[in-house]
Order: sequence, then structure tokens, then C-alpha cells
Amino acid sequence: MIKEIIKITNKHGLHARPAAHLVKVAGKFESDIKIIKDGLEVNGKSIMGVMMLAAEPGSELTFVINGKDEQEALEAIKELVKNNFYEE
Amino acid sequence: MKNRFPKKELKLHGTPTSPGIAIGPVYNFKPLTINLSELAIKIENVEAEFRHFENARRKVLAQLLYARQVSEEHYSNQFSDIFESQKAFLEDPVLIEEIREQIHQTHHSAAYVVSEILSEKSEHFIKQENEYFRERAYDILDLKQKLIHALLGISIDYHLTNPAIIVAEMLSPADTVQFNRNFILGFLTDQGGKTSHAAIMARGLRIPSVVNSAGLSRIIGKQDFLIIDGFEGSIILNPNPETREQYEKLQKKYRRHESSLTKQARKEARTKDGQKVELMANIEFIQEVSDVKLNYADGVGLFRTESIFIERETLPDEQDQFEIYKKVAEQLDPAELVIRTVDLGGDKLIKGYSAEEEANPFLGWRGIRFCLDRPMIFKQQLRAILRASAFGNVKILLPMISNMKEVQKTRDLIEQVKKELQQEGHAFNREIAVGIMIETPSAALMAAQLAPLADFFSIGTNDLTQYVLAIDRTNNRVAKSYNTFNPSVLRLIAETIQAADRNKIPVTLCGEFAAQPEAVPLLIGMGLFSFSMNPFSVPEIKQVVRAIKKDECGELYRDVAKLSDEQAIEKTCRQFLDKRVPPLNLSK
Repeated sequence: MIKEIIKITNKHGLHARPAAHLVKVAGKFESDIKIIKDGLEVNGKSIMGVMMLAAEPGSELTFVINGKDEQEALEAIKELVKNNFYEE
Repeated sequence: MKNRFPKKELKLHGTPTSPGIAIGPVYNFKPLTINLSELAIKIENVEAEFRHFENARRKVLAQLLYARQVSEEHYSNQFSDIFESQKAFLEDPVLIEEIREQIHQTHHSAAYVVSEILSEKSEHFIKQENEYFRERAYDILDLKQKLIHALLGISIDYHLTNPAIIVAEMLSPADTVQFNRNFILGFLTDQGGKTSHAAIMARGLRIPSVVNSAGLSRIIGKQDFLIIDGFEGSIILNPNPETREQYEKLQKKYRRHESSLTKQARKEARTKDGQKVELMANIEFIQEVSDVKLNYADGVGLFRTESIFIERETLPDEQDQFEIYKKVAEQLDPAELVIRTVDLGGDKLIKGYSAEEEANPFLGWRGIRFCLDRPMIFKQQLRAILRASAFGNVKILLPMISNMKEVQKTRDLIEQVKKELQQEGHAFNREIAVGIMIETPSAALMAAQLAPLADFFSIGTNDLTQYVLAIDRTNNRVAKSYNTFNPSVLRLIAETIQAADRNKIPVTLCGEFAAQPEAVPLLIGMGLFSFSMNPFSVPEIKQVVRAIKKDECGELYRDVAKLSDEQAIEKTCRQFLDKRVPPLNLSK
């Protein structure tokens, strides 16, 4: 199991489109992906869950990833966040 | 519960959001409120119940895709965000699994489980401070309702069989687009404002709409008859025959008038003797850009920015503003977009900046005075506007100017901002035009001196009239004397136009006076060829322009200049117009 805090830096935060993008990436991996913010834990493969985080730009999310491909999953998510979900 | 009150005429007042008169029966769009305890039945075959859910889910998904398609065809893509997130929720595998598990564990009906789970989710969203996330709660509640209806086999009858006025507490875009447009006479909703979905759609469809109906949707139904007045906001329930006849006349007049207006709305505004007149729109919200286009306005002569600052808890930052200005500029390009810097104070207050109550707010800390005292806020806005100027035909307009120093100081600040932006590598229009509002008596009197400092003038007749006449038009005891036809106000308008002409700068007029048909020939006579008004008045004013000659307007102005009484002036202008444009009497 790996755990890492990732800061959201895109324009609007996790609105529908970036949230969908994150869910899509998370869904490619077998590992279980949990995201925690302000005591709320959600499933990273659920758009409803990810949007429930109401993550605005600058918010810090704790990713807890558990499974065979956990390292690859973390890298992929970090890459996506770093590139601001490839918006514009 | 029937006949809770006798069918006596009941007159209420709402907020008009789309012009026109609707008269007809009521279609009360009240999605059924389901008694949850009735749904809490135990299910034997849980797998079959889940399959039942899956069918309902696919049905709702199909409805949603259809609604999105209709919406995009008729209302461009302004609601696509809502459809997008609703669709994503419906396709969320984790949510679907949660519903499946819950059915298996509790043996409750799918409808009950859906209701429980989605209510809980929406409650989570509604608690959010961020407006975007908070609004998703309504998307979820809308989905919940649609799923439950599909599960229970309740089909919401969107297919109106007869023309009717749609009455509802609130309407989601997905609901609104489902109705057969040919049968919608008008919209009346308990909640909402100028930018609510139903209001925007009503304007797009050119049907009347009134909001804020004080909970009327809860008490009226099929048996009732309704009139809504999209000009004044009147709502008349079960009108007596005289009232009905009155409004039918009004409606007929307006329809005839409208159809002749729309016929010529596409053509440009040119007087009979060939003078081109520019007719632009005043707007406040990004959603109104479609109104600008539908009414064939030449551009936006006044984009008010106050609501960007007021309708929120914290001040908008540069990025927030930039995105709004950019979007509007892009949508209008190549037509021009004149952005007025924020005019706070007076009657519009901002959180945290209005601690002191002013004895005379209209004479107080507002407009450019506030901005120059708060350079951080002002610079952010100027930066945002300048950055947006890279994406369209953007101009800056400064409100409440009353002396030359204010203009000079602002221009210095703009130069400073330009330097900063250049250093940071931002694109912007270096030659951006900076105009000033002429709306204080001192600015009008000093117009000749101000003109060299400005790239254009915009005459704001609402404030100018109030300041010149020293009349607060919200004060009922004196409001009747508020009249822009007062010769003192007219003289200042004429002198401002002359000062602009002598200095070869453009001048436009952006108050309500520009939308007053009888005022237009007089203003053209003064040499004014650019007007900015609410977008819905553009077709009507266009008709006026096309019916008159510039030369005879000049004569009208010379005649009026001899008169010293505002009523006589107004009457002369009215007669001039009536001879050329058959009068449309919309008064009751």
C-alpha cells in the first residue's frame, strides 16, 4: 500500500471534466484507489465520489493506493495532476 | 382540496424575465412527490430488481442524451455542463454497484434504494460553499426523480396536448427542453431569476416568462386560467372577462408588432436618407450574449461587471474575471464589447466594503472613486480586461467620472498594468480604447476638456438625469418629475455630443433613454448615431431608425430646442414619431 498527498493545481479544481479524466485513469488499474480530503474518503474510480470531494484549486488530496499495480497507478495519477488534467 | 378558493381574479406580481403576454390554461409541471414509505417494500427477487434498475437507468440515460441534443440544437451549448455531469453520474460504475449491493442487502425496492442513496449524495453537495459543487445537488435530485419515475413506470407528460402556460416550482434544463415548443405559451416559476434556465430558454424561444411567483405552483392546477405579463411581471390568476379582454388586446397588438419587427430585424439600422445608426446592447451576464445575437444588435455597448463582484462571498480574482471577459469577447468577436469597470457603491454594495452606512450613497464612494481608492481591486480588473482584449474587440469604459484627474490617474494605472503584462508575457491589445461615462453634471459640463483624454464617450442618461434634476427616482414623492426630456438634461446631452464631434471621438448613449422610441429621432437630430440598450429593444428601435430621415430629425431638434417644458418636448417627439411609425399602444 502506498500513500501520497497530491495538490490540485488546475483552473477550477475537480469539476466534472477533470474529475471524469481522473476516474478514467484510475479505472485502468487493478489497484484499489482511495482519495481522502477533510476526513471524507471516496473511491477514486467513482465520478460521484471524486466530485463529492468538492476539491477546489489548491486543495490537497491524500491518495491511498493498494494493489499489484499501485506504483504505476500513482505515477499515472501524478502525471495527470501535474499536467492539470490536460485542460486546454 | 378542490376549490380551496373561489375562482376570483387574483393579481400578483413577479419578476419579468422574457417579454410578451401569455394567456391560457395552466399546465402545472409538478413531478410527482412519491411517498417513500410506500417504496420501502421488501423484494424477493433481488437480481430481477437490479435488472429493473438497469433498465430504468438506460431509459433515463436515453432521455438525457435526447435532451442534450435538443438543447444543443436550440440553445447552443450553454447547458452542456449540466448534461455532462448528469450523464457521468448515471454511468458511474461504483455508484451502480452501491445501488446493487444495497438492493441485495436490504431487499428494498430499487426506487427506495435510489431515493435513499441519491438524497444522501445531494445533501452532501448542497452543503458545499463552492457554487459549482453546490449546484450539482440539483442535478442529482433531478436524476433521482427521473430514475424513480422510470422505475415506477410513471411517465411525465411533457407532451402538452394543448397550448398552456407551464407553471413549476423550478425547471431543470432537461425538463424544459422536453416540452413541445409549439404548445408552450409561457413559463411561470416560483424560483429563479433572469439567468435561470427557464428564463433563458423563454427568451430564446421568444415566449413570455415571469419568475418569483410566490409559491403559486403549489396552489394552482389544471382548473385554473392564467395571464402572465412578461413586460411588467404581472400574474393574473383566473382573470375576470374584462381583464382578459384587456390583455387579449394587448397581446394581439404586441404580436402584430413583433412579427413586423422580426421581419426586418436582420437588416441594418439605416435612416431613410442613408445614415447608418449603430444599435448595441447592454448586458450583465454571459448568458445574455445569445439575446444580443437573437436581436441582431451590433455589439455590446455596455457590459456591466457589478454582478461579478456582488453575487459571491469573496472578491473575484483576476483569473475569474479574465475567463468571463474572454468568453464574452470571443463569443461576440468581431463585434465590439465595451466593458465598464465596476461601479460599486450607490445602490450596489459589496461585502466587506460597505461597513459605513452613507447618508447619500449616490453622492458617495462609488464608481471610479471606489476603484481609485482600492487600486489592488481596480488593477486586477484592468489586467483581466486587458488580457481578454487579446481574444476579441474589447474596450474599457470608466464609470462615474466627474473630473479630469480621475481619467488621468486611471490612464496612468492602465499604462502601468500594460507594462506589467508585457513583462509577464501576456498578450493584449496595446491600443485598447478607453472611454468614459458622461453621467455626472460636471463631466457633461466639462465634456470639451475631457474629450482629449478619452477615446470615446458613453452618455449614461439614468444617472445624468437624476443628478442634473436632483431627483432620486426611487423616491415616490419626487419620481414623477424624473424625465430625461427635461430641457436641462437634453442640453447637456447635446453639448456632450458636440464636444465629442469636435474632438473626433465616438459617442454613444447607453441609458434607458436609448430604448425610448420617441427619444431616438431627437437624439439623431442632435447628431448621435450610436445607441446601446437592453437587447430586446433593438428590433423596435431599428424599426424607428428605418422610418425616419436624418434631416427631419435635425428639424425636430431645432423645434424642440425652443421649448422649455419637458411635457411639451415629449409630446412633440411623440407626435413626430407617431406620424412615421404607427403607434403601438401597449398601455392597458
